[in-house]
Amino acid sequence: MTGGGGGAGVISVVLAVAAVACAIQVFRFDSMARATYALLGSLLCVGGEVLLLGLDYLGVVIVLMMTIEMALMGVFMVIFMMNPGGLMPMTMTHNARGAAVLSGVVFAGLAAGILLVPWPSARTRRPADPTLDLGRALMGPHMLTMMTLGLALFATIVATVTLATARGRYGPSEPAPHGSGPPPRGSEPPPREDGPERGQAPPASHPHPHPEEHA
Amino acid sequence: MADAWWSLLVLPVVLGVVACAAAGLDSVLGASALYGPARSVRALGTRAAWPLREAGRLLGQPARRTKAADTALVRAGTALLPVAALLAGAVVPLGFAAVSDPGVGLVWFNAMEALAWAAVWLTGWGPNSAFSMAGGYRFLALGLAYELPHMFALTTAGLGAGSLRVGEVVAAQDGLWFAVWMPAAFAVYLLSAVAMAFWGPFDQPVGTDVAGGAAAELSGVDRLVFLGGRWLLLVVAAAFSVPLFLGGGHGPLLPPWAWTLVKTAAVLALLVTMRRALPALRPDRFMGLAWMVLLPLTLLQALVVSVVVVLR
Repeated sequence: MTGGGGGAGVISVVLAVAAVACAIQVFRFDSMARATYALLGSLLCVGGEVLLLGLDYLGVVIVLMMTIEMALMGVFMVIFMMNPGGLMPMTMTHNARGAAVLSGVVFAGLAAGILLVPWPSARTRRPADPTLDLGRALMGPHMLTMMTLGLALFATIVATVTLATARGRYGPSEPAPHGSGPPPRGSEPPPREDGPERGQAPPASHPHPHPEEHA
Repeated sequence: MADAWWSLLVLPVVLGVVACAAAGLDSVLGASALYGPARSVRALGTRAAWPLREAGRLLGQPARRTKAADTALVRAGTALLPVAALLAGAVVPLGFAAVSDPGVGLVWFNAMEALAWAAVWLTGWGPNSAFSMAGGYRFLALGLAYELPHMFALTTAGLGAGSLRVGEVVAAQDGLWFAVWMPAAFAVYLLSAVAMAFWGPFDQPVGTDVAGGAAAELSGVDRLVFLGGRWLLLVVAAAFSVPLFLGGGHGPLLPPWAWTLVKTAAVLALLVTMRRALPALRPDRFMGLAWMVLLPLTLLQALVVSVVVVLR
């Protein structure tokens, strides 16, 4: 995925600006759902940047993983964060002055590092398969360990989730031991087929039988 | 390999025609279930043309907005579903030529159909309606269940070919189709194709018990775009099973594009009839089946395929 040098440069600048703009919007949106998907937009731009580096597999995997993660994160944001629907104005920022000082210092440090580090010369030949070379450079001597670790992590995640959700919302799939799960069917009275009897007032409007007791 | 720009315009047309045909089949099956078999060829044609009539009706229907709806998210969600389907369809070859054949075609397909997760949830969340939100959440639960076995089925096909490029997966099936020696992966892929388009036994996200679920508050063009996008996604998922497991365009006598269409039609007919043959599966119950049965099954299948690939 290599464009002409100028074209790739323009696209990378556009993607960088879009990523930062989406990230700013994460903190400016009132709705948690919008904040989550603004973050997704930012991360998709990052995936595009990785694609521009020639790391095809990593870029597409970033798009895949971030989409699924943000979709699930949206659920948790709605559960735990205030104002999920954005129906009221609110602000998500705290300690604005301290945060501005800290982020300015970090930005200055990163910019100084980027400008002062000795980058390799442009005459270095681009490898034929950047993903393979990156993988070898990161994990080369320890490839077997890494693969085993990956499989062990995956097995742990699957095992913990299945153990934690062995019961569905309406009770376990298999008959539970007595004392857990919903009451067995047939122990509740059958529902009335014709609704409340005529002549009786509906229960909601019936006055409370003993209001004086709550004095 | 067609890298011509015009293939990008041909793709939505071809997918749309196939989707209309599949929707016509579904409509004929539904009408036969409700009203009995068609009495004449003309009646059969009328039943089969129902999707086009419904599309026309929806185009003329005024849009409905609920109170305090997040309209931007609704529009983003409904538009994202067909876009995801078209982007995923860009790597599906017709015969041996696709719109694009990147070196990571399998992962690209997976990433683009994962956009449907965002699309359905946004469509469910946006209208500020309880039933549509329930539908959106149901799709995420369904996605958790089917995604891992789906990914391992895709990986197994890539393993058999030794590459993530769709063209090489097709080329590796010159002699023996992958569906023959990777049947578990093929079956799991078909199940996940039905699940990713929330079709048939997995249609709880738009189920009748939540008044239409994620599509409950959609009307007019929004509804057409969303449900049409769902059909496109089903067609693309069925079409992708052909280069992955059914040999792509390989076959005697007919030209490759005809073989692709024939095989896609067979898979689509199976998936469409699955809707009325199987009851709806609740996503959290399917989660148990998917993670306890399908996941080890696909891992075992991948192990068997790896051993075969290493030994040959």
